[in-house]
Amino acid sequence: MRISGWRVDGFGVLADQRVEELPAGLTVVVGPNEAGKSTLLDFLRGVLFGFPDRRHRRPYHEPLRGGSHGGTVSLLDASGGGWLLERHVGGGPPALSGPDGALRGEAELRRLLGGVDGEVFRSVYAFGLSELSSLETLERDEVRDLIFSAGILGAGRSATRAQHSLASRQAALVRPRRSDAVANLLRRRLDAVDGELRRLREEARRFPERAEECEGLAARVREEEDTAEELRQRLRELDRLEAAWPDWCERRSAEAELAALAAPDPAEATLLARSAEIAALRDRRAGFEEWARQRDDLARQLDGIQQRVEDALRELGPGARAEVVRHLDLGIATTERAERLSRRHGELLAELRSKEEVADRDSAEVGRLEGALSAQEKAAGRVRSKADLDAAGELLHEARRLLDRREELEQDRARAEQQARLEALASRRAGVRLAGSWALAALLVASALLAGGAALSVTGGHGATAALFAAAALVVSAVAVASAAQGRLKDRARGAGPEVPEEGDGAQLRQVEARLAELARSFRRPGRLERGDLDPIGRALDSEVASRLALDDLARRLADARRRREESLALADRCRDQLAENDRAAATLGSELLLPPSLGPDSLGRAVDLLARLRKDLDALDRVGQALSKVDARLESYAHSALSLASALAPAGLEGGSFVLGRQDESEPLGTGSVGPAAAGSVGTGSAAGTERKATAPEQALVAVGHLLERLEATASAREARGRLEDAARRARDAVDRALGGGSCTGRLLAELASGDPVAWQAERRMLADRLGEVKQRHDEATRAHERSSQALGQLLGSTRLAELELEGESLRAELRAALERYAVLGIARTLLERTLARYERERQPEVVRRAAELFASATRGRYVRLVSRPDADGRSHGIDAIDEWGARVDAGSLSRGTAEQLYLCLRLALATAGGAGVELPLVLDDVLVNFDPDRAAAVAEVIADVARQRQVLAFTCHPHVAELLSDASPKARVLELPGTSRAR
Amino acid sequence: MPEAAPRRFCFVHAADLHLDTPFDGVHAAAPRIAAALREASLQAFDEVVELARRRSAAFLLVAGDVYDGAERGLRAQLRFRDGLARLAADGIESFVVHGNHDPVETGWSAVRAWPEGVKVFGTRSPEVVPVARDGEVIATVQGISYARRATTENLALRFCRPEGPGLHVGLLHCNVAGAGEGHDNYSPCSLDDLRRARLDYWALGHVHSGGILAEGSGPGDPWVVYPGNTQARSGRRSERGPKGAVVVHVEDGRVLRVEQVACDRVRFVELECPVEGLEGLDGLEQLLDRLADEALEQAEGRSLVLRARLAGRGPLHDALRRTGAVEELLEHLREGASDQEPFLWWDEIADRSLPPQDLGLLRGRGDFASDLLSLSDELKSDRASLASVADELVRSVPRYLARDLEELLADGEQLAGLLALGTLAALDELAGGEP
Repeated sequence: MRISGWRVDGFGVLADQRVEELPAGLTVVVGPNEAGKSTLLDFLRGVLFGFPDRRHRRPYHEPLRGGSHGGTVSLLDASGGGWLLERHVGGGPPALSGPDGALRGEAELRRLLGGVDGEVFRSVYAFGLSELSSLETLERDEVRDLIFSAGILGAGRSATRAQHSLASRQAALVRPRRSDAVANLLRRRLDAVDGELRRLREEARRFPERAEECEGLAARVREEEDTAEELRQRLRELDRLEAAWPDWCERRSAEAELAALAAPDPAEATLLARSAEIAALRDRRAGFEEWARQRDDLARQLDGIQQRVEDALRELGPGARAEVVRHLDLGIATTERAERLSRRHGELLAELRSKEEVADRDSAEVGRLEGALSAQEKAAGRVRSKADLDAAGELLHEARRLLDRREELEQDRARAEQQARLEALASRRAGVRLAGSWALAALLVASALLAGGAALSVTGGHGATAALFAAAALVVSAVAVASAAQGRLKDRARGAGPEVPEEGDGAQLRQVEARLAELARSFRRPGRLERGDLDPIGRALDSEVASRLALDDLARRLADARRRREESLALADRCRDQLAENDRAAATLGSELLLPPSLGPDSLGRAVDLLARLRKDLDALDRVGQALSKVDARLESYAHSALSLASALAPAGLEGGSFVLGRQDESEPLGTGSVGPAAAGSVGTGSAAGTERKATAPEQALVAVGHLLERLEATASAREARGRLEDAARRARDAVDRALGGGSCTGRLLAELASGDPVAWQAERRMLADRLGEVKQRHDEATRAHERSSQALGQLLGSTRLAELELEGESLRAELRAALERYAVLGIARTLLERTLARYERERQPEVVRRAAELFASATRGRYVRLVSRPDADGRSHGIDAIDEWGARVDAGSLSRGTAEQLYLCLRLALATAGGAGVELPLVLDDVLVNFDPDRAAAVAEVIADVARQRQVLAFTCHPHVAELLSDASPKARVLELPGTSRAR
Repeated sequence: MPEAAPRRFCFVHAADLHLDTPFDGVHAAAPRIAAALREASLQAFDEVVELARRRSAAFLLVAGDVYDGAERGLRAQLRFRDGLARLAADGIESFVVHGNHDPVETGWSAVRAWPEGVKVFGTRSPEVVPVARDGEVIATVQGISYARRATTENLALRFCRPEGPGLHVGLLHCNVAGAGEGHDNYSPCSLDDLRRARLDYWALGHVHSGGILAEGSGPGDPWVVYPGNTQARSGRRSERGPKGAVVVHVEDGRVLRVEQVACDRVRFVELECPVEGLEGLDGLEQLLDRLADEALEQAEGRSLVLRARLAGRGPLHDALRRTGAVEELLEHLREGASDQEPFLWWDEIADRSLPPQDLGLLRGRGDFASDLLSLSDELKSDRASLASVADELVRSVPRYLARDLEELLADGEQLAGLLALGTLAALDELAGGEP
């Protein structure tokens, strides 16, 4: 590979500088100081292998004249293919385009650059005076590899770097002296796991012993618990003894006092034994007094009743006796019956009086009306009957009608006598038939209406409607009757007046006149009756009718009064009969009740009531008497009990009893007076009796009870005192028992109390507490040990830890094995590299060194003829010695600066030209000849020219004579000037 | 006279329970997976017990290596006792011998008394125990346990057919010649040795891969059966595939057939994964996922512990060379795998891929790399030199790691494999190290 040109966009002083078509051989770049030669060298290094950043010690070459910081280098590969490599500072990865113009990756760039890195390029291929003047850069491993193992060029990285990489990776896996590598860590973890496993396995193997140990520890725990319990039991006993001690002392004191008391009197014992009876007497004493009061009340009641009985017997009469009354039937029926008869008697009597009064009033009314009628008849004279008066009225009415007819007939007679006669005849005939027909029809209708009314009545129809039907029937009947009557009248008229032709008004008129004449006669009026005759007749008739009506009214009222009088008299008679009947019944009842016959019915109720009250009083007399007897019995019983008890409990001096049992005088009523303390005080044991009166049994009883109570109280006081002591002793005994807690050990504890020594107990307590502490400690230890053992046993039984650890151990073992495998693989690789490198150095080193020796001999004009490597103990070369023309071996460090630079230059030239992989990189030399003398400079120029025949050499110099030397040595060399202002030619 | 009905029964033959086995070589697993792995051997034994109960077996034979080590974990012992107690409760007798992993003299017992119906054979001579059903002897079982781990005596020679009816069974933990590779040669014997005892059925243990070595026809021609272990313990070849017990069907004192029944809970699978044609790690991960799914489908509902071996040559080699690349891939696969039952655990990815370049061409290039390959070849053929390299490696590590490394490098084949890997690593480094 060689450089065919470049384009500097901006780099230090260089800007927009372009160079093309550089030749394959030597190119001399000449320029004055600050023209940019070293800058150009750094530019080429930078584009090919990367620019240093600002933090690097190397020059940064910020563009001073504008342009993008970087540029492009054109390359030609061995086959003549053109490549373009562009790189800018901060522009990311370089852009490499191949001969086909396509972009290529960094791997291709690395291959194009023969696997050489920037440092190697800087040390071997592109260097300036500063690098040349020191061997330092050639002592780098990579460069040394190149020097001594040039053949690896092109195979990739240097073997040493590969070794370093492998060593580094190995160190991550295993470290000899540190423990942070993978395998070291794994081994340590594995050791820990194995240790834990051994422990757990050992523990597991001890399972049977563990189980046995666990059981033993449990037994030990129980044993210690038992011991502790015994100690605690004794401590509790001491607690009880100390707690019981005060009560024990009290008990002892109380018992001593009791022992000092006199023995109780047997009589007291008897008294106390019957204290309940005495107490009962005392309790009944209030009742006893109440009974006495009741007895007085009853006696008073008895007296009162007795008085009422006597009064009643007196009232009933001399025949009345109490024994008879007791046997009379005075039940409710009898008393009600008597009361009813008595009441009925009164009622009937009152009713009779009332009826008689009514009858009297009715008789008086009859008399009054008879007088009035008689007076009226006298005043009115003879008055026709009502029928006669009605008939007279009819006749008067007929007379008026006939007068009207007579006038009509007389008026019509003249106008149409003949004609009227004919028509009257025809009309009479038809009228007769029609009247008959009408009458018949009217009767039929009346019958129908009556039937309807009857039907309605029968069916419960409306009364008013039925009445209406009846009225209608009457009207119709009346019409029928009227029609018939008219017909009959006409017929009669025709039949009555044979001289009056039927068919003429004249006949009618005659008939009318005849009738009027008859009527006048009846009116006792002579001559032809005229209209003026009728009014006085009418008035007289009206007057007579009025008289007739008044007389009839009085007669009717008289008849009514007479009827009522008869009825009143009948009622009074009936009432009288009833009264007599009732009185007979009352008399019968009175005789049944043995009442005096003189006792009227009206007194029967009173007498029976009196008898009933008498009977009640007699019953009350019996009842009160019985109650009195009961009270007396009670009083007597109490007195008997009290006196008997007093007699039985009488002190020795009163034995035999001074109390009189029983009633002093049977005839003397009990409770004659209050039975109070005053009365009781007057009676006593009998010694004082007879001073005023003899005390009654109840009074004696009360006194006796008082005595008994006094004695009992005194005895009880003594007894109470003894009891208190006994109670105190008992309480103390109970307290002692409670304090001792009962149980089987009580007897022993009591014995200890009897011989008690509290001080000794406290000493024992302290000793026990100490022992208990020790036992508790042993118990706790045993418990903990048992818990641990039990827990361990449980863990053994239930734990998967062993299996987990085994799995973890195997996992770690697998990882460790894998890590060691990787370590071994890397170690073997490293060994292979190392041994191959040693072999390579041994077998191929002379090629590079021989070539360098040839160049160095030329450069020094034969002053030094050979170079030899200086091997170290590992068989690898680590230095160069020069052999001069006289065979002397000179260490490179001992050469002059110029000669040493010539040696280093030759080594680099040899290195660059001795590759086995055919990788060729251009040499870029920056003023490397400036320290050489002219002769050596010319010789070196020739050497460079010679190298340039094999590969591209770019030689930078600021010295024109150096340029000339190079140009002279290589006439085909291209010279480029870098004046800074002029462009390259 | 009507012909008597054939007398039929079956028994279960298991071996190499390795209860509470820690799973040799399994890398750190997630807690749930680790718990499942811990329980796997115990559950497999439980399944054997249930198998015997389900089949109403006449008896159960356990042909050695009940426990994984002389330590005999307490949990394992109690679980074993409880299982046999369940069988005893069902009237199923159990016969047990100890093998090289749980020899009698070096072990310890947490079991004070075995349940009735359990016979653990001693170490002196084969005891003969008849098995009766309905008052009739249907089989006799004889067996002998290892006293010590390294029992090199041919114990099979101590067996002989006793007088008596029924099937005659020999129970022994031994290594029959040619039965399986990679097993310690304890109580070595041959098929002829076994035939000489004139038994009907040899219930053997020791060879984990299992197998029926002989299908017998009668006395002098016995059935010789290794049931294999009940639960795989590692990713070794012999541990792969279904694991369990055999159910032996017997009729009138003759073995009719031997039925293999899987009882395992977790299976080990090694996936061969060629990297040719694969460009990136994503493609590799997809391929591994697919292969894992296929393996899970074929696993009969068992959980899987997977190991992938990347082989072949291809550009993927460069990607795999990057430090941590394989570990990251492994982690990624673990994250994506199911942790539900049946779970899938990616245990390891072994990168055995090669760079794309042909090493033959490199050898002919005459440069440093070719010199390096020449040196590798020389070492490969010169075991002594290779051993010296191994020694140097052992010396380079701290003392507490030296023994581990020494054990690792003691195996010549292993060392040769490491040499090949080291050569590749060196070439990779020369080629530029980390990509």
